Amino acid sequence: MVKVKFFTLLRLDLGIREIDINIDGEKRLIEVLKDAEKKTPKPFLHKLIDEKGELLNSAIILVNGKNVHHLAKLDTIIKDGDEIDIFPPGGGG
Amino acid sequence: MQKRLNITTRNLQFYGKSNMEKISKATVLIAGVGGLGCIVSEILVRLGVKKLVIVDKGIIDEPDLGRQALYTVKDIGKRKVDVAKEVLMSMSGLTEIEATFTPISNLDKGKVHSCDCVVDCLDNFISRFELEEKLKDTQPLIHGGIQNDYGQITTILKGKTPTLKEIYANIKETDVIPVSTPTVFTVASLMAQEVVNNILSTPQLIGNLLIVELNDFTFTKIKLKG
Repeated sequence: MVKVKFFTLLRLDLGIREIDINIDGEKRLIEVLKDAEKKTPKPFLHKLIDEKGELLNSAIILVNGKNVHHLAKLDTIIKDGDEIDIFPPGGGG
Repeated sequence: MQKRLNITTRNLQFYGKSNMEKISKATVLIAGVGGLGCIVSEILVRLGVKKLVIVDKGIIDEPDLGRQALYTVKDIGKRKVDVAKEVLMSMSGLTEIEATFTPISNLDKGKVHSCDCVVDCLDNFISRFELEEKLKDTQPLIHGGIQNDYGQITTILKGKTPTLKEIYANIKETDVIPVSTPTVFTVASLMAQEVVNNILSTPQLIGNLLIVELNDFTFTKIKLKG
């Protein structure tokens, strides 16, 4: 089981806080997110990824507390027990 | 000393003499005296910290008055650090206030190193990364950020925790950031609590990102990895 958690703007837009995804063995992050999108009330991937399949810079995606920019981005390997947090941070002060 | 005790009596009852002494010896750098910085500064002054170094390059403008608690209509057009210093001084007369009118990029490293804690109340990520660069190893940086009705806080210890630059890799800047006043005051109060936690050597957010979602009062801690 992989937990995908949505925060703030994304959570409000989707109307859900988190979903669980069953994965068999290992999958790339992009595949897990696509699986997650099948379970959410509306699509969300377009808010995170551009038409070229590159990560947008509007939200941070943490896999087990580490920004995926420091891992393999959308190719980061996800396995059973991992947690994915998707969070558009507040930049204001 | 008697004057200090009069002002901080209720806090003294809670924190105890030993902890209040630690607070009264602390020097804290407040980077940015906008929404977050005004409230963090006020709380620390009312708690009786020894010294605040307040840093900002901004001039008070009309939209600031909706959320920046140290300023009033008569202050429009003045430097934030000057007005903040005057108002903070008037609160107790116990805390030394050093006002520095400068962008973070020009802030002296030695000044940063002389402080027990550094508080990131800035309004953009570039300045945050510049501030973080100036820290000495294991010097606590209490980071806060807000948008709309949510915000986040963490304590950075350079060399020990992931850096802000790592956590917010590739995040984009937003020009004008919408914020709600209750969120500003709430997140700032939580930041002040974490400053005190650090002064008392009981930090709670080292390696943890606290996400505050005010619309349904949800507080979530995410464990960060470097």
